[in-house]
Amino acid sequence: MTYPAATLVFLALIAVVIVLGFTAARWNAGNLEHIEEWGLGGRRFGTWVSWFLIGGDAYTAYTFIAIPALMFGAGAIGFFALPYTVLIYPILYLVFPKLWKVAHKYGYITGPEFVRGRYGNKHLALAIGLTGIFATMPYIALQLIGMQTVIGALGIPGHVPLIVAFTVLAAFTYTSGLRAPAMIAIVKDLLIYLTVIVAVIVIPAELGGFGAIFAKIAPAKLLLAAPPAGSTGAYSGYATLALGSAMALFLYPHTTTGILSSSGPQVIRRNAVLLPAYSVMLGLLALVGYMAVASGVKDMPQFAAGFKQYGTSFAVPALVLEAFPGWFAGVAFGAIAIGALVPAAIMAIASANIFTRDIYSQFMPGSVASGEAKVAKLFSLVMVAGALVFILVIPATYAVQLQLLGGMWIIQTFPAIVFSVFTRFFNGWALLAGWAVGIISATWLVALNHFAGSIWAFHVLGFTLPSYIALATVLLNAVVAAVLSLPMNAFCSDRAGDETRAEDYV
Amino acid sequence: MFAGAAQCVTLFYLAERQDSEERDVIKILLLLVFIMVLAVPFYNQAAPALFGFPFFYWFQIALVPVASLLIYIVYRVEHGGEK
Repeated sequence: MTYPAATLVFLALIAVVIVLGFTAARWNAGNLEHIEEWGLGGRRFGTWVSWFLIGGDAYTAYTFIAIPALMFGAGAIGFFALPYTVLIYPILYLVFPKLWKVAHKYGYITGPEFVRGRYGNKHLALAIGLTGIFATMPYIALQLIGMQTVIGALGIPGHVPLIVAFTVLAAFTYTSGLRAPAMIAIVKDLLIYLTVIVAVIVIPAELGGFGAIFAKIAPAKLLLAAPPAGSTGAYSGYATLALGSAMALFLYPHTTTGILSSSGPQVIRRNAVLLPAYSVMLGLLALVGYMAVASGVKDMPQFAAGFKQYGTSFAVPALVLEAFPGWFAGVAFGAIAIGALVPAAIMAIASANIFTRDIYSQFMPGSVASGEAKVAKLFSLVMVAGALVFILVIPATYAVQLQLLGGMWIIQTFPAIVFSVFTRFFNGWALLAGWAVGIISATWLVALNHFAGSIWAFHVLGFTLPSYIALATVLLNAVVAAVLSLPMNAFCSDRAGDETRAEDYV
Repeated sequence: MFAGAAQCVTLFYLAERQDSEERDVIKILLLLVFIMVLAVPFYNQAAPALFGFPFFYWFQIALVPVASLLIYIVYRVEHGGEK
């Protein structure tokens, strides 16, 4: 063992979490043969459990590695994660208490189900559901990569530890459902907060304070570059990245599941007030990327192999090993690894809910409601296995690129889900057309960027407007949906297909 | 006399509408969150620094509790009495 103390603490934490995952089935026990119990925890989580669950769900291991890595490599632009995670909360407050009420009244457990009920259109719901599943797959794979990075940093070779960890994950997800990640999320978040607080106290003290750390950052990376004449430059790039990412976040199946599992609209509103604590933590964590620059880990011979293999993603693990005593490095790595397990479990469950309710029960003949939970449990295994095969067979860079695309795709469900909470102006088929235009144009622009960049410079009336592709294409999507809805409402209205009522949305 | 009547009607109207009007107006605070967060040119500066943090960084971190407070006010006004 290269780092014996760190490895022992790390393994001990993982062991505790595995035990918790299996015992979670008995927590507030419900009948796990019902999909609302298995896949939504019986919609019973109060303010604090929801706080841990949604926080554990949205701020993933990949975030903890990738955001500091982006700061480490690219500088100020990486800080968009902070405005991004501020803007998600007004959106959470405005949209999701309403969605919860409707979902509760009609027994919906997924976003696509709401859309199907609203428009009586199972094909639109299928498109929304498949978007969710395809956007989630690479996201789970990235959690595996986050975990692999810390396992690799501990000097444990090979894929076996990762396969073991995710086999166990699949097993406790199967037996305990959403209760498992909810319970583990509490441990995960306490460890993450502990690690970040210690990091922002201890490391700057070792490096001579925050002033000294910022002084080591190249001036060109410390701030966004001022835009050239006739262009909004990095300013609009930064703002659209933050806004587009915020619009997309709660549309992911796993975050929707986290919200719908709460016990009521008031729990969601209180969490819109309380969850920003995670954003402060994320902002400080982003700065760990700068601490890694200032500490000079990049040029230390013992980390050369790690940087060669994992690129800038190795910045955080290297700094942790350099700055902390062995046992605390074990705590930090444990926090990151558990931070991979929680969202990965919720992602598998959420995708399974969608598969069961929006694909299997709608499109496969002979399906019966009593078999729902069984189908969902089996599909959760398929999701985890798929992600595992994904990263064992396909190079990590593809997972990153597909995750980038996933963000572009999932935002295309914004008009169908979010607008529909406020208005029934749109026509279901028009929303489907808008969705298709959005998916195709976003994919095309990302392909033109060689799947490496998420910003495209649009030229409008002689001005250059660099924009996050997701935001620009979802605007196009909404315009197409609105323009097509006008004639369709007049000639072939689908309003009669709405099983919800106007008073559900007050 | 007309002015007095108009004022009376307005007062009556406001008293009638006070609940829902006040509740809708308060949502402007949420718009304020978006404006502050997206005002990139305003905060893309190094000075004034605070505790060694350039303005760009500390301002954005400081926005987090401000946003939380604004959402809290909206919550209290709109739904503070509910369980």
